[in-house]
Amino acid sequence: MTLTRPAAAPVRQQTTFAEAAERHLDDVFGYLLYLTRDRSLADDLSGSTFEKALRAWPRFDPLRGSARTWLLGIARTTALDWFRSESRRRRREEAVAPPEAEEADFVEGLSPALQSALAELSAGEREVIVLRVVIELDGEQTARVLGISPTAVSTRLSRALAKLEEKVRDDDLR
Amino acid sequence: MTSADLIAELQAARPTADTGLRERVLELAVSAPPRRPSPFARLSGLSLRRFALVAVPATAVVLIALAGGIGLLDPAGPNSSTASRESLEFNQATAAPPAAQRALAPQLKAGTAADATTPAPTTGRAQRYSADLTLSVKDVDELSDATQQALRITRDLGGYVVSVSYATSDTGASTMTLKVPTANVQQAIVRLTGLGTIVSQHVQIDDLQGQVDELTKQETVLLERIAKLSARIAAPDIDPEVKATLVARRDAARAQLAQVRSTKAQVNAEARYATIQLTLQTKQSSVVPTTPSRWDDAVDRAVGILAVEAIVVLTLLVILGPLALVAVAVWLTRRGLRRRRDDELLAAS
Repeated sequence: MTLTRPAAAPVRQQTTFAEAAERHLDDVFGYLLYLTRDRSLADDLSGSTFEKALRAWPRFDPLRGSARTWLLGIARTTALDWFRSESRRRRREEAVAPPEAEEADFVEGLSPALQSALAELSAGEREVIVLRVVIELDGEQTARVLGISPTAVSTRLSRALAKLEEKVRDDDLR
Repeated sequence: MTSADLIAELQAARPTADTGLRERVLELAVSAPPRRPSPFARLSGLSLRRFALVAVPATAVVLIALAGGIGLLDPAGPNSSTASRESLEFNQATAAPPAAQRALAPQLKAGTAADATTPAPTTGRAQRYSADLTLSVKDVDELSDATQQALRITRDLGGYVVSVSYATSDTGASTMTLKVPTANVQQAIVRLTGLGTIVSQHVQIDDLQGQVDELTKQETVLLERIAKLSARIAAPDIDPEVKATLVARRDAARAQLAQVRSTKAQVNAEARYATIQLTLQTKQSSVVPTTPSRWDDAVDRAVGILAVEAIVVLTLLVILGPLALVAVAVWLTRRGLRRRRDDELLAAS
């Protein structure tokens, strides 16, 4: 079964969970992929996100925000939970084993320089780039997902893009 | 490479989920129950400011409506007009006479004619006649005229004025103590009650004839005793020592006679003149409180309930306010710390 990705249109109030999932799966997956830089992990976390969303669906209120920002918020919580457990695991295992190598090319279609520059950014920096640039949320929606003000989103984005540009330039010079 | 180029490349390489993930999610999604937002979902979506904008006026309206409703439905509260009405009745029926004299002290209904019901003094008997009249006049001008006429009537009937008290502002009242010959008292009352509308009237008659008769008898006895003592003192063969004793006894009797005659004169004077206590007042005078209307009662009660509600709300604010502030501060601190930890975690990843 192949699902086509629908355009990011405003979600109607009577949207079903299936419609919302179909419409925003790529956004959730893309967000988690940029955050984790691991396709397989992003795949797993996306599945977990939609399981959580399914359980929370009866409580979803379109008046508080769109289904897209709601799903991305759940995805962020899921990713943070994973980062926490991963951080604990790494602290335990670092003494006996070297850290695992992360995927260099985690996004298909990007130049190696950009892939490399993105990998050098922190998850927090990649997060704001994926939300604002790749998924194309507006400032207010991004602020809602991240739990910060739109001004802070704007500041974080410009810093992250400047850093990304600098990394790409450095990579080109090498 | 500029930022614009980077953005264009990032957007061109937008990631898409694998088919396997799509199928898993779709399978999951089709089993989803329909969304049934709870009745409180709308409320939970309100911001604090929006909630306050609705809740505060709504609460105020409910409290005012509650107070108004209770005030209208149950105006006979503990501080309602019952006490005022009792006070009014008390004022209209002051100086209730003893049981033995009650028959002589009829209470007139306001505005009725006085001549038909005012008891007349009994001719030929000494009686103490007291009348207490309260009349209502239209305004301060009429009060002045009525006061002057009352004084004129008193003098015309051979009486005199003991005291006059006259006070006006927006409303006014004058109080007079009048002495009128008892023979003319009925006529005086009729004429005085014509000066305004009768609010209350109280007439009391005490019979003094028994006292007068007793004093007359004592006077006669003393006169006879004095005559006898004088006759014995005048005898030629009386012993000087006895004479001195009899003279002393005659002097004592004479002093006692003088006292009896003085008392008798006072009683007769009291019986000759009736005392009329006349009060004239304008219609809005505070002497007689007006009966509050049902609407006034309702408003008074509603204001009372609002005051109680305000006290309760303020008490709750004073008690719960600091606790709520502490709870909000704790919540904000925990949220801030959690966000900082999340940011640190993402910055390190």
